[in-house]
Amino acid sequence: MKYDVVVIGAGLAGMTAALKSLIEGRRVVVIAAGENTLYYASGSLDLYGGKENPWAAVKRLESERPDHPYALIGTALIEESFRFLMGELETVCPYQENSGENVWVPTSLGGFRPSYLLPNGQFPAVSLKKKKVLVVGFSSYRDFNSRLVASGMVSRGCEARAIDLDLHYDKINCNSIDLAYYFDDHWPDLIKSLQETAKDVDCLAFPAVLGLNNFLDIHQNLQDALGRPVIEIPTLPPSVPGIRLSRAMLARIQQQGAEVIKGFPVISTRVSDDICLGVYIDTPGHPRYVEGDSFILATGGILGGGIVVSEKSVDEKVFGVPVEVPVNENQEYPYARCGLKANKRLQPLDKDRKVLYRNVFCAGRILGGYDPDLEHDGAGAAIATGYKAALEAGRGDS
Amino acid sequence: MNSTTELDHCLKCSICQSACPVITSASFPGPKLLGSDALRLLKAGADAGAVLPAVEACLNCKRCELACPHGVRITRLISDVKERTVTAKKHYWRDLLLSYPGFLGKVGTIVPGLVNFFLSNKIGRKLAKKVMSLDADAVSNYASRPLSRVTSSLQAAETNRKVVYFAGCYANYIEPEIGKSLVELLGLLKIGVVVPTEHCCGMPLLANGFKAQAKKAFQKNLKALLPYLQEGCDILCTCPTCALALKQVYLEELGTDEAEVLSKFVYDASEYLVNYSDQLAGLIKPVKLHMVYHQPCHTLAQGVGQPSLTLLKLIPELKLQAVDGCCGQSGTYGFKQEKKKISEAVGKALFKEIEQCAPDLVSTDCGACTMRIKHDCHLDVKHPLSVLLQSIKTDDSLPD
Repeated sequence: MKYDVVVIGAGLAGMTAALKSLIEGRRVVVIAAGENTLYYASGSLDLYGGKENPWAAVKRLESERPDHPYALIGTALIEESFRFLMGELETVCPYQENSGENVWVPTSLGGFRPSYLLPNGQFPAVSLKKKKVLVVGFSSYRDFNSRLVASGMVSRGCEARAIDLDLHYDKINCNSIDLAYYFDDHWPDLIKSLQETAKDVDCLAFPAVLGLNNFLDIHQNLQDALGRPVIEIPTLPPSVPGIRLSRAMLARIQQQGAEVIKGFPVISTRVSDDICLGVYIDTPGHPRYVEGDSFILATGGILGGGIVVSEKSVDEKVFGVPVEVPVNENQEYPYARCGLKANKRLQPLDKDRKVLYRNVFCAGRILGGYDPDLEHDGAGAAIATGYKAALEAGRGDS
Repeated sequence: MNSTTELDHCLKCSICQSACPVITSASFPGPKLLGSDALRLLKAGADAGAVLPAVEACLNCKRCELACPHGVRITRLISDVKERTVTAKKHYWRDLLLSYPGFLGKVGTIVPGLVNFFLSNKIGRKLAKKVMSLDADAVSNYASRPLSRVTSSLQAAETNRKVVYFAGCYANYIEPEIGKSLVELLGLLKIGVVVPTEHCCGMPLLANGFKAQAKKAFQKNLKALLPYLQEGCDILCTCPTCALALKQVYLEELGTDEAEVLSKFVYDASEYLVNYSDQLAGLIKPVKLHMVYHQPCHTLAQGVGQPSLTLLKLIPELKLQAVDGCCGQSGTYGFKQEKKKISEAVGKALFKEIEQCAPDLVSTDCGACTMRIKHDCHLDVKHPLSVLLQSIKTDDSLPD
């Protein structure tokens, strides 16, 4: 079976690329080894962290750090990619921005971190300052300490206090997934338990477990019934807001007619000179051969499994593109910025900066030159490079 | 890879938990606890404690495995745990009987009138419930003649090549129409078919924890299929579970060279026919119907993409919608009385989605899904190949 665009990897970058390709009318297949790193992520989408205006920072990176993915894409296209994704998600998993500024969102360890696009559950963080907040924990849920979160908020100038509700739901090893499914059905219980206590506060904060299938309605209903903003604080993995985003994107992709093969890695490729002809997927019985005109490589970094670190070497798994591991300047962790080198079309480059495959385009964390954990730019880079890769894949190998 | 090295790949990230359709049940600890966690404890000789009895509630749908980012074969770990706890089963004899659908099918098709009468009236069902804890409400009738006795008359006279059809218990004993459709479709493509005398694929035994018996069934089939493999015949399955067993599970459990050879020759029937899309498209006539396609878990688990959907899309004027989710039936699981509530809870979302589409007809590849959806959505359900053949054979719309 031959496709216009073969997307390898179904994380934020791969799915953005698939969506854009589908909207442009291409025949798309998405291949993924398993679920993506959104399952570990907060579900809010970073652009660039810190106190500086994030767009100003993006502009600055364009000239200061030519290897940064943002410098490869350019500010105008990054903005376009954000608008595109927000539009696609508008009805299924809406995201909001704070007039071009970062928002400091609370974490489940009592800290605050900067982020840019926020899902409905996290957007109320915009006006958290100096508010009276009730932090609600659940006694059966060990991964969220309401007192720790409340004390963190107090140190940031909020008037926060904590309570823990007993849900009478004592599932063994109860985690975020269990609770999210539980609240899909049992959310009205929260109104009953909190109606009175809520009257004394301006805002309620919960661990981000308020439903998986039905979150938008639950969130709206809780805010209406309690008469106050309800904020969700991302939890330890598996992270429910990340799963909601991942599922919403996947559903949109399938609805737009993409074929999705999930659960099996690409094990080898067929290439002719600098053109990739097809890839083999490690499916039961016989490897499945998938042919395509263009390929988008979005298999992730070390966490996502696109880059594998062994005792001897650091390798890119699908095409064997050389991975650049920067020397350890400033005592930084050397692997944080490791990744592939690509040109402005996102084609992978070899050690001599020559294009390795003309019809392969790289997107997301597999690219080198940035450190999302320190810089808070992982989601932005994924969205922007995914979008750009789709545009380039549509243009072909010319 | 044996299950010990496999365990080392599990990071305990819990992503598998999010993919499990049974996780919403408060009594089900989920694939991580029942697979890698329990096996780690058991291997160390420790007490895996309270979670073990819950292992029986695993559907073996394999959605956890597809979600795992690290390639851990979770259901294989769970099947090890099932094997270790099989003797403690409360419904040991009932589960053993249900694990032999081939035997049940033979009885059912020899005396279909009697068996169907027994299962389709209130007294019979009550008796089944009382004696066996069996809920037979959704069981479909047995066919009056098994597939193996009707296919020879359908063969094309002139053929270019030969394939083997491994029909499986459902097409063999309950809905032979599926097998007939495949044979006729292949005939149109000038492909001859052999339907060997066969035994159940053995997956029900494995899913119920009877691993030793399952391996015997695997060996038996392997031996029966080997001569055809030596001739270079491809093996086609219309049942997703049979296909998955032959492609993957035999090799995993037996680890023999023969099992490896077999795995390379097996195809899901739609996966095979999709390569003949151009030829088929020339034969297909428009069908003015609204149809929902449901992809079974074990088709997803084969990583073949959506070949049935691709084939159905060849039919002009067919309004086609695809739905996603597990129906909760899982072979005979949904017939076990103590599992009924879980099974219904799992299927609820899917049935709601299907009902919201309000189709004329549902299509799915799996026999168990077919029975469940027929019963719960009160809609007619057909195998994609039956739909395809009917669109070739008639000018009028389905169903007749």
